[in-house]
Amino acid sequence: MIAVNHISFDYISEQGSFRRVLADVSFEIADGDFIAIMGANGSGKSTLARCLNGLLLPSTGEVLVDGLNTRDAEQLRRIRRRVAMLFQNPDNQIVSATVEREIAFGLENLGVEYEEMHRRVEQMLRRFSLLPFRQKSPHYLSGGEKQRLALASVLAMEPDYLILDEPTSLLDPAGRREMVRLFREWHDQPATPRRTTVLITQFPEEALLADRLLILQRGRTVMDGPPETLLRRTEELAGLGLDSPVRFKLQQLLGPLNPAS
Amino acid sequence: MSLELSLERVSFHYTGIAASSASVLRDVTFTLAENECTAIVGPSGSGKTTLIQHFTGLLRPTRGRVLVDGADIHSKKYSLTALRRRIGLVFQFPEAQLFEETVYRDVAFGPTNLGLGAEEIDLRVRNALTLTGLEADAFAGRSPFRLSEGEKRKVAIAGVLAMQPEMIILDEPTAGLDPVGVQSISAILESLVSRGTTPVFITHHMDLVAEIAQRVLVLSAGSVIFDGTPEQLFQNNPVLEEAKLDLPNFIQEFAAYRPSLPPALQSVRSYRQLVHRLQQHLVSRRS
Repeated sequence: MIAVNHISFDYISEQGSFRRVLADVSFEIADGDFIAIMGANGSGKSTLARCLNGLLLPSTGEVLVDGLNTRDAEQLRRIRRRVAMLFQNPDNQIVSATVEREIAFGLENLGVEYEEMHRRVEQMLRRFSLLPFRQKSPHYLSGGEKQRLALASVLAMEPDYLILDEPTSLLDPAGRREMVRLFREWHDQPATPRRTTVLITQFPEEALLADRLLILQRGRTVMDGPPETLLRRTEELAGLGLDSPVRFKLQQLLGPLNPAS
Repeated sequence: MSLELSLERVSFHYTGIAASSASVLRDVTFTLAENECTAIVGPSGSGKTTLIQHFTGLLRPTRGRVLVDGADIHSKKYSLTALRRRIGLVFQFPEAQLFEETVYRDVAFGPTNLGLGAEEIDLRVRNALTLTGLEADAFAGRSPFRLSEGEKRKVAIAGVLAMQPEMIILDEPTAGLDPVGVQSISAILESLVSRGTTPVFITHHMDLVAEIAQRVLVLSAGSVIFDGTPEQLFQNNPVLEEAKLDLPNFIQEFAAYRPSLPPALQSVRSYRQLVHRLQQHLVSRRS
């Protein structure tokens, strides 16, 4: 479980002025949850995501991962091993000279033994359809392939929690479908503890995959509930600068005309 | 003013250390027409960005010619500098290139380099900001680094518009923006056509294509496999499949409603258009 307890986050600019990006945010992420987070650009989504594994420390309040406080420097390694993070742009995440080295990179850092490392790299190359590229430089992969490699590399570390920060927003339609399939598949696989996913997204259709949706506005949680319910509140969402699924908008506009309803 | 950009059997491949089978163009031929909002779509790696780099001579075709108003842009006497004033290029994430202390100075950078007078520069900066939906007085003095992502992108686009190009080429102008940002970029592109700047944009966002494009070019593995209207594309399954494209979300969901709607509403391509037509329809029924 990840407990987010009354966290606020202030950015201080070089000119010395400060801006509150998160304001008193609290919620709990239970094992097995699939949570989506939506909010306009600048609403604090990415900052919140980075607080979940201690990449950023909140200005006030605390984040507990299975009871481990992200402020406790000695626990950070354990926390990051459990909470994996995938960013929007794989170019900011990929560091190695070849595809297979990239998957092995995190495992080496964790001190995984050679045999086990080898096993996991092979497994990931196969599961993520990266075998043909194993000796290639990630530089030659397409955007979708790079994002697949980035996901394979973080999942090779066998985390319990996966934080996805707009993982599909730069991909082409085929790459987007594939990415969604891969993280769903990871989430649904039986494991102890049960696998937990937090998906930050601008696409309302993707938020529908989740069991629960949090909506942020200017650093505060303004909605929290089942996506099927929240995403039908199309006018309210528009007021927050967010889109709702076309399906719901059409139902509201043309509902009585739909032969299926 | 009119500008006609033609690619004539253009092929391109990288040579030397960057050589790879990816990012090649194969025998590409088309002419971009004035005042026609054109979208370029296709899977990543299909050559879209390589293609637009040929439009201003940033890349030189391995075979074939790029013609502007009938002149080969790689002929000896042709001035690429002059061409780049007529065709503006907005790269992906253009906001990464903002560098001045104020929005005003960033947008003024291009016109200043053209050696224009202060008054003309001022006029152009204000016009360009207004075109992108940023109120000139409110934004001129602000630091570009303290704006929202959508606003930064608009400032970067305004910087290119301030050069008053006849054509503006944008590489994924909505990537990474929230719905409000996407909607405002869409409005900017739409308004440019009537102001004498022809927009040509690369996108993965099929709903945007449906909403504003008058013409679509589909690239697959370096070849143009389709050149036509969005309507024609959405009915062409073989092309959609080959380029791994989705139908726009709206078109998919609207299909169930279409048969039961009056003919005037059946041809809409986007939610915004539907709302607009529905309003007109209700008004005309009342009168």
